Amino acid sequence: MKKLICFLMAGLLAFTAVGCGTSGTKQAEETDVVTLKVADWPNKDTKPEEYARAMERKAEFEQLNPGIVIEPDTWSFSVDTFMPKAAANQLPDYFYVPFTEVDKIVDSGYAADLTDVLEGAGYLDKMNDLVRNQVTRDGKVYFFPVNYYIMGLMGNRQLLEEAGELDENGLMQWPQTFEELGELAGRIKAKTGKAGYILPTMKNQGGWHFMNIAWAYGTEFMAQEDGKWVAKFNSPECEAALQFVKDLKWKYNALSDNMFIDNAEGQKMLSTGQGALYMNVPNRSALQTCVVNNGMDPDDIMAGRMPGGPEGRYALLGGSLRMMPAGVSQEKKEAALKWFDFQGLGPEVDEDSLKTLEDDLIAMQESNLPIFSSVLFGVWKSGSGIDAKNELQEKYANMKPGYFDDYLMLDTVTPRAEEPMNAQELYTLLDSCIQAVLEDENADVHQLLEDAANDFQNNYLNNVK
Amino acid sequence: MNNAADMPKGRKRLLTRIAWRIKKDAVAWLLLLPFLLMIFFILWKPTVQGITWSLHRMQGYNVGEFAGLENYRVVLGDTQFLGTLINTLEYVFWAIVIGFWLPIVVAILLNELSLGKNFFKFTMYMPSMIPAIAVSMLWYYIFFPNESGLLNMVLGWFGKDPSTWLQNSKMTIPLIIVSNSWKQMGATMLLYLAALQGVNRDLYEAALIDGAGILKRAWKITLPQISGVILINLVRQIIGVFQIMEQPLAMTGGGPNNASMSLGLLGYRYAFQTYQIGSALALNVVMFLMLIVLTAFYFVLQRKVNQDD
Repeated sequence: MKKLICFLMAGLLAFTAVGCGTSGTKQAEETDVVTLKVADWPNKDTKPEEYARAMERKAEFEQLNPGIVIEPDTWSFSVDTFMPKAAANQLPDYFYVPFTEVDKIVDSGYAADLTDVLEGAGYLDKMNDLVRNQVTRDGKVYFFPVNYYIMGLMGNRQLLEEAGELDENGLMQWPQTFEELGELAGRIKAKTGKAGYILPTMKNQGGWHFMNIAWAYGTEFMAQEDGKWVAKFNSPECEAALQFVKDLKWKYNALSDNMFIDNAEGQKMLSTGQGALYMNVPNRSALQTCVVNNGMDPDDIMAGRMPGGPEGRYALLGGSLRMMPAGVSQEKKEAALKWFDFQGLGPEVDEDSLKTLEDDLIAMQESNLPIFSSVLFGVWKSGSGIDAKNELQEKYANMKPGYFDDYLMLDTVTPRAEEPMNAQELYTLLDSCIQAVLEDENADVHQLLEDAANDFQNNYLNNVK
Repeated sequence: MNNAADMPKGRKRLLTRIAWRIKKDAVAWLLLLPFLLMIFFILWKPTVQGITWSLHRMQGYNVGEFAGLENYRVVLGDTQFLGTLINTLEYVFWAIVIGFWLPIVVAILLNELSLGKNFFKFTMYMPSMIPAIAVSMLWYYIFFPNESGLLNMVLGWFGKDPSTWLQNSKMTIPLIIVSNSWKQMGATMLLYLAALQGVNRDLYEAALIDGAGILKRAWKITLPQISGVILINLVRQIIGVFQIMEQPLAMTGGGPNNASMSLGLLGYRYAFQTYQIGSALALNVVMFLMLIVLTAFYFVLQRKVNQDD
C-alpha cells in the first residue's frame, strides 16, 4: 500500500511538472478584436489618480474604436530588462524607448518596421527632418516619434541662492563657457559644502554628458576613411575637454566626494539639494522625476543653456519614441497608430486627441510641474496639431518668469545627434576615462584617450560590418 | 525472427537485470523526473544552446548564420579581456586571503562554546539571509567616500581624514570581497560546524587530559579532522568567486576605470547593456570551460575526501 501511494504521488508530481511546461501555451485567438498591449501604464497602487485617468481615456478610445482593446501593462523600458523580455517574446505591443537605444534595438532586429503605416497616414513628409533621421535606419522607419529635446543645465535655485549666485531679481547668470561653469561650481561648493556641479560617471551617463563638453572643444570622435570607421578622439581637442573634467575635481573642487554617480543618483542629488547644477533637460520626464519622485519644490527648478567652448555651443539631442516589437501584425500597427493619434502625438489633432492633451497638461499642473508656454521642439513641421498644441500649452503655462529664459535661447545652441557608430560603447569607454581622472590627480589625460581610442577602434569599429 | 528465445544467454541476462533495476527503482525515477525535467530545461538545454549559439552570428536572440569562432575572436581580442581576467583572479585571491579562513576560525570558536552557541550561530548566519543586492548597498554606504560613510565616521573620531575606499582602484576588489565574505561567512561556517560536530569527542578529551590548550587542540585535532571539508570549501569558494557579478555591479559598476570589472560583469554588459549577445555567449562559454576544469578538480577532491572518510 505504502509503495502504491508513493508511486501515485510520484506520478502526480511528474505530471504536474510536465503540465507546467504546457500550461502557458497560447491558444489561437480567432477573433476580429485587436488587443493592443500598451506599456508605461500608471500603477494602480502607487499612482491611483493617473491610473484612473488612463483607464478613463482607455474606455473613451475603445468606445471610439470598437474593434480595438487596450491591454494595460505597467512595464517601462529599461536597458537591462528589454533584452530578456524581447528574447522571451514578452514585449508589449507599444512602448516607450529613448533616442539613445535606437541603434541597439534596430540592430538586434526587435523593432517592427512602421514605414507603411506612417507613410499611409501621410506622416512621413510632415515629420521634422531631425526627428525623421532619428527614427529611420536604412530607409525604414521603426519608431513613432513623441518628442525631442536638447540638453542644457538644470539648477537647484535654493542652493544657488545659498551660494549667493542669484541677482537682485532672484535670477541666475548662467555660465557661458565650461570654464565659467567650473569656476561657478567651485564657488558654490566653497560656500555651501555641496557639489557645485553633479558629474555622472556610470552606466554610460558620464560619456553621454561628456559629448557636450567634447564637441564644444572641437572633438571629432570618429570618421570614415576609405570605407572604414576610424577613432579620432585621441586628439588635443578631446584632451582639453577631459582636462576640463579633471579640473572640475582637482582645480575647481566643484564635485561631490562620491564618484559613482548615475543619472538616477544625479537627479536625486539635484532634487534634494546635494548638488547645484546638472546637465539635464527640463522635459516632463525629468521634471516629474525631480518633483514627483524626489520631492523637489517646483519653484526651485531653473534651467540654462549648455555652456560653450572654443569651437561652439553644442547640445546633445534626446527624445522619446514609441516602438512595436518585430513580428507584430498589420492590424496591431494600425491600432497603435490610432492610439498614437488619440493621445495627440500625431501631426493632426481632433477634439478627442486635444482632450487627451489637455488632460495631460491638467495632470502636470496638478503635480505642480512647470509648463512652458509653447511646444519647444516640434516633432512635426506641418499639420493642424502645431497651432492647437501651442494654444493649449499657452493656456496652462505656469513657469516662473525668468527661470527658464536662458535655456529657451534655443537658436544659439547647435543640436547634435549621437555619434553614428557604437555610441553606447563609446560612452562606456569615456565613463572609464572620467573615473580615471577623478580618481587620480596625476592621471595622464593624453594616455587615457590614446588607450580609449585604441580600445574603441579595436573592440568596436574594426568589427563594424 | 528476432525474439527473446533467439537471444544469446548473456544479453538476455543483461536485459533482465536492467528491467529488474528499472522496476526496482521506478518510484525513485518517477520522483526524480520533475527535477530532472527542471534541470534539463533550466540548465542543460540553455547550456548546450548557449554553446551552439556562440558559434553563430546573433541578432538579438535570433540565430543567424554559422560564424565559427568569430564571437570568440571578438571576445578574446577585446582589449578589456585580459585585464578583466586578471581582475577576476584577483577577486579569487582576495576571497582566499580574506574570506576563506574566517568561517573556519568562527566555527572552531563556536564549537568550543558551551553557552549561547545557538545565539551566535544564528547571528553569524543572519547576513546570509539578506538579499545579495541589499548587502552590497549596505556595504556601499559603509564605504561611502565622504564623512557620511560609516567607516569614515569612525576614522573621523580618531581625527583621520576620510578615505575614498571603493573609489581607490587598489582597494576596490579587496573591499568588495569583504562585503561578499561577510554575506557568505555564515553559511560556510555552518558547514564547518557540522563537520566539527562529527569529530570524535574522545580525541579532545584525551588532548585535554594531556593538557592541550584551545590552539593546540585546533591545530592537532580539529584541522586534520576537517581538512577534507576545508579543501572542498576552498574549491567551492574559488568557483563561486570566479563568477562574481552582482557585487561589483551594485557597488562600483566595474569602476573606477574598470578596476573592479569581473568576467561575469563583462558578460552582463555584453548581454544587457550593449546587446552583443554573440559576445556574451562566447565569453560565458570561455568562463564555463575554465569552471569545468575547477569543477572536475572539485569532484576528484570530493571523491578522495569521501574515500578517506
